[in-house]
Amino acid sequence: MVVMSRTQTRPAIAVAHPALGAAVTAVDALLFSYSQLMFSQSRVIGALLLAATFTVPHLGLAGVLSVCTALVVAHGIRLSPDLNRAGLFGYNALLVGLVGAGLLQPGPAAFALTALAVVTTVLVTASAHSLMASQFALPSLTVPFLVVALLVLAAAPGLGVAILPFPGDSTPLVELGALESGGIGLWLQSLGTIFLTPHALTGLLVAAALVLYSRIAAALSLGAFAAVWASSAWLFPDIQPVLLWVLVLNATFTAVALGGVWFVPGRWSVLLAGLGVALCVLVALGCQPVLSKLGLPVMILPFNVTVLLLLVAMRQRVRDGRPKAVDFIPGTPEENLGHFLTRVARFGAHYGVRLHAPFRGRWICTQGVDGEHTHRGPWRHAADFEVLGPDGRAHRGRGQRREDYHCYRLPVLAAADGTVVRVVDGLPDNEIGEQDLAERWGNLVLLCHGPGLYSLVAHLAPGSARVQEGQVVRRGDPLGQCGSSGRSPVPHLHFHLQGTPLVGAPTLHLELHEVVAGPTDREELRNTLVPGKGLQLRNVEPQRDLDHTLRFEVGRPLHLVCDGRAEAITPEIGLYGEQMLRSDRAVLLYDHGDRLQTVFDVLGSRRSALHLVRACLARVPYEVGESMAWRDHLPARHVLGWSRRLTLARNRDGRDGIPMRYAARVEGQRIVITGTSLPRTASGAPLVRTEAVLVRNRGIERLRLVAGGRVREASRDERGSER
Amino acid sequence: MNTLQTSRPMYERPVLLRHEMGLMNKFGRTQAMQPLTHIDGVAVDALVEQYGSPLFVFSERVLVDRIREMKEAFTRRWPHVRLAWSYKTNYLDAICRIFHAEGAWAEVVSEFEYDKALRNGVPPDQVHFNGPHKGPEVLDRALTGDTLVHIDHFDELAAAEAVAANRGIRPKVALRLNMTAEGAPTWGRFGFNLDNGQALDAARRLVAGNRLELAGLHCHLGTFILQTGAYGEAAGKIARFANELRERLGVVLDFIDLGGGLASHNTLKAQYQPGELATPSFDRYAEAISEGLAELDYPPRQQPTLVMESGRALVDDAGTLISTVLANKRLPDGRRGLVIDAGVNSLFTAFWYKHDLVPAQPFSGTPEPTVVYGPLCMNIDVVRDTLLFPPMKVGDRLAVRTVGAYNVTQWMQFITYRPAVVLIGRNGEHCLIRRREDLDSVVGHEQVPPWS
Repeated sequence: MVVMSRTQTRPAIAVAHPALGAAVTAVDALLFSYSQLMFSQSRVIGALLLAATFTVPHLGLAGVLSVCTALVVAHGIRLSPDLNRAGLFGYNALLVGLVGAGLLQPGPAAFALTALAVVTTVLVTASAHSLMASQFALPSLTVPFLVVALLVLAAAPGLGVAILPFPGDSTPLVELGALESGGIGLWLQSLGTIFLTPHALTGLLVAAALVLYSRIAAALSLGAFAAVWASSAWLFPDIQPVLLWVLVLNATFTAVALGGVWFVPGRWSVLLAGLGVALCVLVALGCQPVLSKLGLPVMILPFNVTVLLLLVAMRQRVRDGRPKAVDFIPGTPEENLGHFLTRVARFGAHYGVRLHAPFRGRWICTQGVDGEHTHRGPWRHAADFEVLGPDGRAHRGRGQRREDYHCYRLPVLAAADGTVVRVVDGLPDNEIGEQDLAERWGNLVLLCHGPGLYSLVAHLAPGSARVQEGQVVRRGDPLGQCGSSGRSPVPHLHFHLQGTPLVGAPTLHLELHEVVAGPTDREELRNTLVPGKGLQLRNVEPQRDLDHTLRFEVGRPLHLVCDGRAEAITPEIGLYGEQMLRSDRAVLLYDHGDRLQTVFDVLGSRRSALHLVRACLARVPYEVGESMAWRDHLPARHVLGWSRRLTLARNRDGRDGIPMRYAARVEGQRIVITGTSLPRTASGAPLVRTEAVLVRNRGIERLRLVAGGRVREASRDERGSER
Repeated sequence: MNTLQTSRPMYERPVLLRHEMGLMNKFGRTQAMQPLTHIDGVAVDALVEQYGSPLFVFSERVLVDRIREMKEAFTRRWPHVRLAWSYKTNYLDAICRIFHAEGAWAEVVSEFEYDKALRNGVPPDQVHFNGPHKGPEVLDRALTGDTLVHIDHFDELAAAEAVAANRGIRPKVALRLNMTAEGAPTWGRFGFNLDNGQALDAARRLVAGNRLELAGLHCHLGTFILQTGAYGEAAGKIARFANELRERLGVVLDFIDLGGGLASHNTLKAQYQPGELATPSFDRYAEAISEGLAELDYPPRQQPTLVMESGRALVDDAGTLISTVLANKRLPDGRRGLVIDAGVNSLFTAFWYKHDLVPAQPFSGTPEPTVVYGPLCMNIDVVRDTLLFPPMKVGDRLAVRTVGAYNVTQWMQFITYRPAVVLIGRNGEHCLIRRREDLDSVVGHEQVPPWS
């Protein structure tokens, strides 16, 4: 029930042989139509679920026919080929077909009605997808199926087609004796209910698909089942088995969807899943009497209602966390967790905005968070900055004049892109040692960086404001000059983040990104940094030639030979301005910023050279120095085999990212960027090593990734470039 | 006056002085002179014993501190900053390499300096090539090597275009500009005049020629400019000119070069206040320049690099000349004359500055008006005209401070040899960086006609 593809791309064969390619695409579309029920796009899971439907052969056949009809219709009326191949139009039609074949009294009228219903499902799916995904950014789940199935079941008696009592005449090929009863039997039968075949064999195949899809999902499903089973035995022991199956099925899928697919798996997502299960039972029990009066079954309605309700409700939170919603392309719960943990390690957890230091050159933090002077209580998340001279003091001479202070009248910059919401200018600078306790913040500029995120620079020099309220500023634009107005006994800069546009509002967690910290001879580029007292920091000072060297020129392909195969990588700009590298095997998004270049995760084939770009050039500042080093994380699932990953997971509490340390050096016209992982193998060598060789003003020459003993290399293909 | 514990009391010569009312002057009190016995922890006596007298001594610590201070002052105020070491100020390899190690590019004004920069390992594309004359051979080498050539006149523009056409290249060049700015002289002889429109003509001509790429603008206001406002005005004028170039010709500049001319802590002869008080800090220069450049109307990502070609302000403070007293004499006007072994042939800057002279060993006695002469048999050989200086004995040493700039390039082999130069490292180690000259250094280039 997931629409976008995370890992699947067209197989190479489909590109090479069009006829064969069309066949492969058709088979893919069929299998993905089944696997979408499990939120996934996997041929194996699709095949398992396809097999599960055939435990009752005539139902299986009806399912395949329905899916094929839907695919042909979607293709014929020219709906998106990519969505069609992803199985989007197939999975709802599959369920509608199964309802038609399983719940309607067989006959020509039932056949015609079902066929019409399948075609309608395609149209409803297309509309629902457009409406829900585009307008509300919600998944359409199995809403199209529900709409059409309820319509058909309501219309059937009027058309002279009788509705069979569920489970109808679905006798399975094989009865699995022992597994048909008891707790396990109930679970398996419930899983089978999704295909209107409440049998252990179907359930076993569905369970196999579920385990293959995700162990987290399987665990969530078992948990949900246990909860419903236990509570049913206690609260409503007389429940009909059919209703119990439906309850368990709905609860299972609700738990998986909330616990791992739309929310990052964790304690809080499990709690939410628990709430979802309870809600689901309530909706089921609440709807059942109403629907049964109309002669209609509950089906998968509680799942849809609960998930959509909680998705919308959780979006109304002030801060997204506990549980964290999946705000990226969703994958399996494991993938979601891994992606999120790597993202947190790389970019910090608190803000979607990258905040740079609000000044140029090297400054020192003189009062950090929970500082001893004024950073207390609601204003604890703040930092004061000053500048030290060569003698390690903040001022020249005896420091009795404001002008003696090195930071005095230095430019103060915007930490990130934003809008100016408040400017105070014209309050006088204090004499050294004096403070203005009436206007504590002094001259200030308050910027809005997005909903609920504001940054304040305070104690500016009078008359130095360079911006006006309402003005849009870019990161690095000068706002004013450092001064000593307000509660400021010596010239310094006060910086904090807050959640509202009111001056004096409580501060939010303070975090700077991509700043260079540490003493001159041992600098480190820090992805996220909470400034502490005594810490010296500065922004990356970009070297323009390095900026040019790293820049991918849009439309000009980069030809790499990776593991003996040529790959043409074309830099593109997406519809929303996103920068990406695309080859026939994979896609990679990156950000060529003003101070450093960051590469995001690769979508596509594991064999693509883009994985080497991701590993070797994960993040590169446009500044190379002997003393400069930085850290980053690589996604283990893209770099290492599963056995190595298991070892890594044991050592690192199951976190997905491999922590890496990068450094760069200049060799004539070449810039060599090397990375070594912090985790080591048993022999003490780094688990992962990377090396990128760039040629000044030409770009990538060679990439090398040594991971778990396996060496991968990519080098620029000169002949390819000439072609 | 220093009262130093010595094994036996020093003999103090009697001196006749005009009576003054107490020791007060309008600054409060007479300045107490401190002897310079050690440089960066190394005894001056030991240096002279090892390397001879006179002797230039450079401090690596001061060199590094100064360039870092300057770099920081500017990088705190402008997003892209590049320092280019002005070779003509001091092109001793050892000195240049210290600056290059700190990230400075090279600024050269002749073929000789260009070759010296390359010899010091500077890549040719990290050299700014200035000056009114660049010979055809070196111009060809510079343009093909991606050196940034600053074009001085229309004839040079034509010559550069010829090289570009000939070589089939499109080199990046800059235009040198001159202009009036309050507080600085107008050096109309270098580059194109901005105020009368010649600079715009040159830019139009360069763009129309379509063989060169206009990557930068350069101006050098003058030398030892104490008014930071002059830099602010020049930066503002250049910024407005850059805006005009972008609007009219679509030229987006890579860099704006404000040249050098920043004052060191020396004191000019015409200056009233001493250098320590009068010379603005790097911060003040940087503030004026960044405020001037704020007029630039460029997108944030395309802000040009600010290039500074400072020489004197970086190296002057790091150099000291150690000299030995040869004789004392009484001049007819009553002043005392002191003859030392370093003359204006070694200390060329004595023509410009009231140099800061101090004894290099503990001293006592009453200071009296003294003229310091060099050893040359020339009337112009005056190292310092009248300062209050304590009595010195023959063989005593004195130190001339703040002499790092221009002396070891503009010095002359005249009447006597040029002295040795020593560098003191950051950990107190020291070594010769230029040998004292001898007869061979002079006669090596000479030739006697075969018919004599």
